[in-house]
Amino acid sequence: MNDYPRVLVVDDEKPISTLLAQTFEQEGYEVVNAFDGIDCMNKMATFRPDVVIMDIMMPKLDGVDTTRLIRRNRSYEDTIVVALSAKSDEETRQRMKDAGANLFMRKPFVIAKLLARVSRMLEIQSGSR
Amino acid sequence: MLKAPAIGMLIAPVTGIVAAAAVPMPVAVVLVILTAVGVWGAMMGLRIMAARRRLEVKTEVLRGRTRTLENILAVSARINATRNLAELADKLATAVEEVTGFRRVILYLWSDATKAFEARSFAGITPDEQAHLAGAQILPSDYDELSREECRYSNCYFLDPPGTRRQTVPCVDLLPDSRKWKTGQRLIAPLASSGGDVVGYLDLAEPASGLVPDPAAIRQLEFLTRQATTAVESAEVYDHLARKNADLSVASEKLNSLAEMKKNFVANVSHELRTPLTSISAYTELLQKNLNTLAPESLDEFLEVIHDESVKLTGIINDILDLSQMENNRPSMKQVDTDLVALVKHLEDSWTSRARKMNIKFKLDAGAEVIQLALDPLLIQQMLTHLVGNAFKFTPAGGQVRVGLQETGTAVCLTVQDTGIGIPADKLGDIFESFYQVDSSATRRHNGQGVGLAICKDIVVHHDGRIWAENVEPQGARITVLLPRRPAVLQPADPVSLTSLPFEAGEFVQRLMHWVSESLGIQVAALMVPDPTGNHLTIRAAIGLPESVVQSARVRRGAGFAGRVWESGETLLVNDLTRDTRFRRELNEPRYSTPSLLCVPLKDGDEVVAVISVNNKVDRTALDTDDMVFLESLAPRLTRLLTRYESWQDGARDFEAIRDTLRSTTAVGHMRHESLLEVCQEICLASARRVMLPGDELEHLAFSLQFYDVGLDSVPAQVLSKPGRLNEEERRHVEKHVDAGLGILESLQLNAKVRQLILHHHENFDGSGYPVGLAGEAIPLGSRLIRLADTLSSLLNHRPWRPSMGLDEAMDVIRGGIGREYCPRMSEVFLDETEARRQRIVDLQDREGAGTDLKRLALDHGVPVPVEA
Repeated sequence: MNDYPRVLVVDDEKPISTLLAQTFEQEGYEVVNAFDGIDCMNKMATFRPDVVIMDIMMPKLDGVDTTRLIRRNRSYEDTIVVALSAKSDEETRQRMKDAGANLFMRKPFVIAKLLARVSRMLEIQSGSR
Repeated sequence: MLKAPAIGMLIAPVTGIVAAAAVPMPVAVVLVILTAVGVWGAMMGLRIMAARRRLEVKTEVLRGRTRTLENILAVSARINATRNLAELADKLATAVEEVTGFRRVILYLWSDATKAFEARSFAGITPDEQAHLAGAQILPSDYDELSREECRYSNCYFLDPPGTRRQTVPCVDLLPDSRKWKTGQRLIAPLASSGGDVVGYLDLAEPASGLVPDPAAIRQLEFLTRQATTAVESAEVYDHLARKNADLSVASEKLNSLAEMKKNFVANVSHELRTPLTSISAYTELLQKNLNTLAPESLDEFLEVIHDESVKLTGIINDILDLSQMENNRPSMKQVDTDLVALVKHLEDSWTSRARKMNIKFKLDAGAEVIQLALDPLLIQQMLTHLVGNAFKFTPAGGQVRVGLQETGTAVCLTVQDTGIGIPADKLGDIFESFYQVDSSATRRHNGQGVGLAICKDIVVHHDGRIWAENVEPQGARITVLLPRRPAVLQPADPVSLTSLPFEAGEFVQRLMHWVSESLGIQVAALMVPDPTGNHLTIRAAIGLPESVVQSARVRRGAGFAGRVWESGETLLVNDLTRDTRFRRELNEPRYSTPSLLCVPLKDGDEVVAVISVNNKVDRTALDTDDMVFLESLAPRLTRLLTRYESWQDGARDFEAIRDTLRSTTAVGHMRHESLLEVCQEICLASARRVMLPGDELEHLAFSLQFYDVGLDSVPAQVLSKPGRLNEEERRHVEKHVDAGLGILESLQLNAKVRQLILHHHENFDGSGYPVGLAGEAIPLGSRLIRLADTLSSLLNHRPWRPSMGLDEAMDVIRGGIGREYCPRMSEVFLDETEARRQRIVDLQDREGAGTDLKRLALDHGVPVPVEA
């Protein structure tokens, strides 16, 4: 086990997922990409991420249902889920919150802000542990 | 001398006995008698001329009356068509002034808000006075003052000038002096609903004639007020409903699926826009921060992403703009004649190269070299790009995309087929809605915007076409677009009719034309009908003809193809115009793109009511006898559909029918026995009063008496005027006149009781009459009285099959029929009332020259012309 926090980037939109992966890697995170909800669930088990960056509109299994599945598994209780979506209406926000996302950010987003929020959440998590 | 027998024959009905007695006498005596007869004949000739002059004068009176009736019907139609209460009120006062001839008309309507009558519209009132009147409220107690029972005549109230003793009675018997309208006198005509509620009233004064109106005028006025009452009531209901509706629609907006779609539209649009924007802004941010440290390859990569995403964004924005432009009633689109094949071929190259890149096969099947169609080329190009682009998007490598183009009878069929993932069965109907996506995730995979198909649908709808999707075996989807060659162009039914062709009627005729052209596989079809003058055919509806042609086409009887068919009543089939020497001239007409045409008359009996003309077969072959037989076999059905539809559905047509019938009936049928008929009606009503028929039933009876036999006009003239007995078929014709009359009166929205009275006016007391065969007391009392009045007036007048009878003889005929044709109780009263008018009847019979051989008046263009038999 190394000490770098692990980030699973779940997004079917190639440019965005590439960009997110590069950014988090530069900041010293360990990153894995998943391209849909099913892919995400498979990688959850093997990769055991600390943070999941979750898109909502995805093939096969959308972000809301994927988040719900993650939360149903007790072993992922502490995993931070950050919803990142171009669908920013109140209803989607609420559904994501109900499903168990810790944070909702809307696209387009400011990378610096996303990084700051993620690292802040990880600090809180480790502090409370 | 040679003329003597002719004169003798002429006057034979009158001088028969004299002539018969003359035959065996010696020649001298015969000469003397013949001379006497000659003089007598000359005197008779003078009498005939005098009678004819009287008839001409009377014709004028009748035409005046017909005009009034026409006016009333026109006004009724107008006010019944008005739904808005304020507008209706405005029309009413003017209408009343127009029809009744009162120079001062004020319409008061009850207001629930103020619990009073308020003056709502005026005619012949100065603005100052109007302002004064409009402010005044007539309370129910005031109205009671206006409608005192002792002032009542029929349903109106005659108010004498203040301070004078009441004496005005509108009675024909009064001398003109005493019928003079006095200054300050008023006539109040209530608008009373069938439930007895007074919804308003008319305050009338100063008749143009200067005379108190006669009973006939009062009846007309009351007929109008009844129509007005109905119109006011329905306008009130309508107003109320409209307000309610407005409230409801505000409340239900949230439930409205359209509103829901609009909401989704905004959400979806913002999502579509944000996705590329996310990449753009994120990469830009990264670039700004790391510009100095970034490797050149990364820089290229970043810039490419930003570029690609901006292109995508621009595409989406364009789509959205297009869509919103289409939703905004598409102001800028226009249709021009375009070759669809050329348009598709123009795009083929770009599709082929795209297909090669994606390793997909592309195929174009055009069913013809040229397919001309009126369309908006830019829009159709946009649609094609979307549909074919979509097909590429959903087709995996190794698959195939095919574009097909075919002509059918009235449309061009365009298909785009792929071997992609297909469309789930339950989503087939939805994919053309704005921003609907089968699987929202599909967007991600295929860069779809979800706007494309909605735009396609809008484009197709704009061209009056249809678009649908289906799945094909073994895999893939097919989108089919049907573009009609040209929407059917409809002409208003009749430029002079009061209302334009109602939507359903237009729709109906249009469907009919589509049906014909589809069945025959032809591109051009026109339905032509005679115009009101009967000299020309005009196009009523057409397919495949420019609107300008439809509007301006006028074909003279006997000219051109349709004109010939109209004249001859025979089908015309031309195989090859260029070889047919008969039609050299018509060859120049540009709309015949194939040299073959077919023209079929639609006949109602012997009369050609319309001509259907078709040409330009889709497959470019000549029209043949098979087509002819087919269209001819359709013709009777088309005629029936058209005539039935027009007589039942088209209010304006009904109105024309009534007007024409009334015109001819009053002029032809009633011409000769006008006054006698009036006396008979008077006897009928007097009898009804004697047997204490209630007031409203009296009113129904009075109305029915005016109209009960309008249906006679539907009976062929040769049957009506046939001397001698009628055969079975002719009798059936005559018996149908009752139903025909009710059909004609349909649009007057007759009271059910009036209908009953008219329906049963030919029933016999013993049950042997028609149309139902009611017997005894089951026959409405009024109908039994009409039966008697009809018989009496008929017997007193000359008929082609028998001379007129004297009063005694006529009364004997009625007595002889008591218990068989006639109700015993009613007959007794009726004969009694007849006896009371003996002198008037005898005078009238004498004055009208009963017994001369003036028989019938024929009509030509509304001008009655006396015809000697």
